Amino acid sequence: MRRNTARYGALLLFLASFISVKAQEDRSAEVVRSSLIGLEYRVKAGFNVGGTAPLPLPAEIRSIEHYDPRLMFAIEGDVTKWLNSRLGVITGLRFESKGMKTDAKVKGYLMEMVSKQEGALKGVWTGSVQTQSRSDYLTVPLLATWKYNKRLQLELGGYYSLLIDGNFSGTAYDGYLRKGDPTGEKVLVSEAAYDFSDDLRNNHFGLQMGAEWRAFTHLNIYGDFTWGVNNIFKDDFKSISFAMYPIYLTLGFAYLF
Amino acid sequence: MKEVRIIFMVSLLAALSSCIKEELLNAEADILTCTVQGTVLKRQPRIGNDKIVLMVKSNADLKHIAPLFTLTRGATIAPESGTPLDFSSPQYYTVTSEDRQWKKVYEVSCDTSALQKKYDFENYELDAKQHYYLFYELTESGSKQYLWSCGNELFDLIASGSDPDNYPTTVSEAGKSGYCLMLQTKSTGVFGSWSDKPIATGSLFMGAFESDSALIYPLKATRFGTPIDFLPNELTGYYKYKAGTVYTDKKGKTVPGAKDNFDIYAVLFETDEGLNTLDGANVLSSPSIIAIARIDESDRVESDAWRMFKIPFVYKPGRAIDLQKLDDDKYSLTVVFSSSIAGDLFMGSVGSTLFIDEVVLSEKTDL
Repeated sequence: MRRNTARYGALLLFLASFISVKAQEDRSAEVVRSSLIGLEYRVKAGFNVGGTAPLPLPAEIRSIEHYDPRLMFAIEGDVTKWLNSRLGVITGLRFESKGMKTDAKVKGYLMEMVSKQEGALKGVWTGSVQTQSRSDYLTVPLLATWKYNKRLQLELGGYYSLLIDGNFSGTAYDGYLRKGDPTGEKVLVSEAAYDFSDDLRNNHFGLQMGAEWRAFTHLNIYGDFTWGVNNIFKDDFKSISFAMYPIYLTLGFAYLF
Repeated sequence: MKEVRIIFMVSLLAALSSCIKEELLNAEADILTCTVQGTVLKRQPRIGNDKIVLMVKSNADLKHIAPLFTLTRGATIAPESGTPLDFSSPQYYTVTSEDRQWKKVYEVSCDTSALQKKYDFENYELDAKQHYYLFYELTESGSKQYLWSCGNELFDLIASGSDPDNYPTTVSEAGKSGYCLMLQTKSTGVFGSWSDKPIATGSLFMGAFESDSALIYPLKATRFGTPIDFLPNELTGYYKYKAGTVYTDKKGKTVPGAKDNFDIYAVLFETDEGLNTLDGANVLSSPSIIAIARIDESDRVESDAWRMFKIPFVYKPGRAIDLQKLDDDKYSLTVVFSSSIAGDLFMGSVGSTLFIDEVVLSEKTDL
């Protein structure tokens, strides 16, 4: 945890109060008034399932032995401004975690193991790599929405995410490193850790596509697909030879006021 | 909900797996094995990352030696494996990787010279990467004999970028005469401590260091022994020693009250088909050992001034000495200097420093 956890707590508190207050008011006078000028409020909660992956998968990755999406949540409060009976604009605030755990076999994978202050063991790795990542973001989506019919609503747009806390680390095991390049000295390694948490990018942009199904008057089922367009690592990060993008699906329920 | 997650996971995994690309051609360009037909070799070749030394019998015809190589799958070599070449001077082979992107030049040399008996540590040079010093001896004909090895190669992997003087095994200007050998136990930093190797001991030994497996099987990385054509009697020389202040175990934890010490020893042993070298695990215990010379506990004294050491070879009682085997180059010798006596187990004090100079190996005359 490299950032202030207090920032975190305050944020959760804010979201919780927002949700509970809104829920209690339930069709209060303000909501009715809002709906008259075309404003609609909702809160959403769901799971994030997906991966942070290079696209397309580089040839260095020979197989993915194991994949675990872990338990990642997304909580969102947003507002829709209906421009007419079918088209609208959505924005809001989402607190979410994206992460996964993978185990892959790689061949000739450029990487750097070891801490910064002590110098690095950098080279080309052939063997297994286990990666775990978890990033917490504060996200602002901006979407256009279209009502297909009374029950189905589609959304398309983009988002901005601010990284609040991030971890990207793992181990390289059962393989060997060629120091520097493929002709460098060969070193067999049983297990070595790496941690790129400090190299994660703070500001992210991405595309978002979603669908919402009105199951009951106030309760919707939704799915949002998000695709990050910038590398999760900073531009000057060179330890992994390819860019990685967060690609996630959020599935959950929305409460409509 | 759970089912949806599982279905999604499976489909994502399938999608990712289906886009696994075709395997790239090999990028490595290694000589994996080297053999020479007939009986010209005294020992199996020493294969480094870009250097091969063939220890050849003194009566061999160097003008027509045709080494056979096996390479990384798909790689090619020029001149071709099996080509007879003149090894009066080193020959250079270029190995090209299967993907044709990488080339590595190997220096292959033949060493026919007999073991030198005086070691003054006046002859040293930087390694090919210019990172650390290597010691060599000069033979009667003036060619370099790379008798000595050390763990600098491993230290280089972990702590590259250091000055050559900061490696555990280095040279000092403050010799008894001229330059001398300087061994200093160093910290290996975070990477070393992760793998339970918090220190790197300064050491120098006759033999080869196999850096490949050094992180996993450190005791197997030190391949002790070089052919010897006489029976040694005594190892003499000069040393200075200062122990480091904080003694740590292999986890890097301080051991209160423990004090570091150095070690000097030499081992004469017999080689055969199955035993080419001794290693860190059996160098003092192998049944192939004929004689051991090890500095006595009472002679290991901290000193700022040069102190002489004089260590007799103690031949194992009842161990027959076969002079025919000696003539056939079957006997090997190693001499080992170490700045931390338990350095092979990664225990010792950072800063322990051992200086060595004017070492002489005498020949046994009363057979």
